[in-house]
Amino acid sequence: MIKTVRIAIPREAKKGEVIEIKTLVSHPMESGFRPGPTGKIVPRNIIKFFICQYLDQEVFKLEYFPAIAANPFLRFHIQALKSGTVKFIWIDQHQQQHTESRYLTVNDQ
Amino acid sequence: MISEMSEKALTNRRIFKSCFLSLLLWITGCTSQETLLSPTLEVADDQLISHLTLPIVSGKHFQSKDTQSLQADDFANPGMLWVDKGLQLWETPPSTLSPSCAKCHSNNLQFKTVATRYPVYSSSKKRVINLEQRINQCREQQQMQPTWAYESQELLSITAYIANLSRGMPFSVTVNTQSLPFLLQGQDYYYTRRGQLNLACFHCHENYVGTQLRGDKLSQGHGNGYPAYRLEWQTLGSLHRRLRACDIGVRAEAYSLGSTEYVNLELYLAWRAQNLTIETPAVRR
Amino acid sequence: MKKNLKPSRSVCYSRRSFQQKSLQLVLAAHIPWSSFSAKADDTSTSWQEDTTLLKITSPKQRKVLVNIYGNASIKPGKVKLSIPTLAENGHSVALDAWVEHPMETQNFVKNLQIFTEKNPLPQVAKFTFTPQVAKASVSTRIRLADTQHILAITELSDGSFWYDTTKTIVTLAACADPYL
Repeated sequence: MIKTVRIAIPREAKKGEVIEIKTLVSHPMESGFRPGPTGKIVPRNIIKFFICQYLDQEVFKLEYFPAIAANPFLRFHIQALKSGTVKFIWIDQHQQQHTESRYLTVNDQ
Repeated sequence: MISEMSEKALTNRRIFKSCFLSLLLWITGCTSQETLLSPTLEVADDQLISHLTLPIVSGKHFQSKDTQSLQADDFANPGMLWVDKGLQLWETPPSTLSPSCAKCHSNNLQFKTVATRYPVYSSSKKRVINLEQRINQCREQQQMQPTWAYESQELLSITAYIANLSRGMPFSVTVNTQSLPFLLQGQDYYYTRRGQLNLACFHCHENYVGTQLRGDKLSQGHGNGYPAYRLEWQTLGSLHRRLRACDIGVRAEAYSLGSTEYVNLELYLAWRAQNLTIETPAVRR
Repeated sequence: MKKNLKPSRSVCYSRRSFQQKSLQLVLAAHIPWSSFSAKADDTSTSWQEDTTLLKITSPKQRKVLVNIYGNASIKPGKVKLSIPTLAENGHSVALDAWVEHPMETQNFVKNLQIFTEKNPLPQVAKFTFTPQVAKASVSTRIRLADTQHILAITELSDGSFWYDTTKTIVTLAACADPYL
């Protein structure tokens, strides 16, 4: 379960500007290969997908595998076209979703 | 050819060989483990010492560039996730009848420096206590809530948040008649051999600073970045967890988290670090 | 003195042997000699004939690549992979990847996949882009089980595939650190 999320996205951007978005979420990303305190393998528990939606359209998607480090960090870009909501959705292997939204103001100049 | 050599030449050859072998054995003897490590130190019971002759340097300088830049990046530093959670706990009252931490402490300007003063002598407990134990004391007595388990996510988060407030400030633990006996006990721990490997803390963290222990470069062993995000743990952890790892590393029986031995050692480490600044949450390998 | 009057074979060419040899030369000229050497930039060549890719991938990894890419041609270039040469701890290694290709409506980078040589599971991540991304440049942190090669393969909207590879040394911790 994701408990804490950090998102770095500018509040404003010029029309056509390519903005950088960074996310950091707390999640153990248990690979399913690690022995636990009793010696038994700890079952896999990872985030499976990250989807970024901008203006209700899916613009970026990341499919995670166990090789992504714990508390995953991500940096990607989108182009600012129109003012609107940028949605961040994390879906884990148990189909549980965690959603965050940020509003991006796009100036015409 | 040998048959042609005279008897004298043969004898000379044998003498030379035996001298060379003796020299070789002597050199090996000199560089044996026992001689490389300094002998057991004789320390007077009431004398505070540190044999760290090098300039005091934070553990971050013994990490790779990638790890150092991860610590410096306030956004990407995974330890900051716990600081964020700690801020949330700080501001939220645990129940309708209990005050939040912020209610009592927000107006106290001195609170930002609190982590630099711990461990500190507690007159009620008649021993030194560290920041985690002080937080739990507050939780029990002021907030009327059950204490948080050592190394629980809540206690780690709130400790990381409070220590992060003191980031950039140097240690300033109090050494007086009350805290001195505990400080000396911590010092005694530091200079006592333990475990199957029969090593004391100073063997690695004073004698071999900067050298490689497998893939790790040995640091001076300061606790200024704790609670720290250790890549090996893939999570944030307390100083006591790190001390346990060290004890297990030398195949010694480790003490429990929050034990008086580790709190005394924590006090000694804070004194030994002199003016080293706090870096919580640090990133270590 | 008896002279050796028998002529040597090399000297005597009949018209028949000349015709035979000329026919051999003409036929030889029509053999596609170039197809016998594996060239990575040959569009018709499968990635499985690329000697670099064969050298830096494990059999388990190649099975996964066959499932995803079949026998497609994957050429070196366009995508760049940046990972520290020496990773202090295999649990968290910084990875930067970008594709030097425009992101226009009809001509863009479709996806970027990362694979490892010695991890228990070869797949690491799959980034899917749209033209709205505008810049196919990503960063994340990955786990590496051992010193190994990391492979990045990108698919463009025109159906072509490109790759880049790098090697990272992963060091071991000094002391075994148990669960708690």
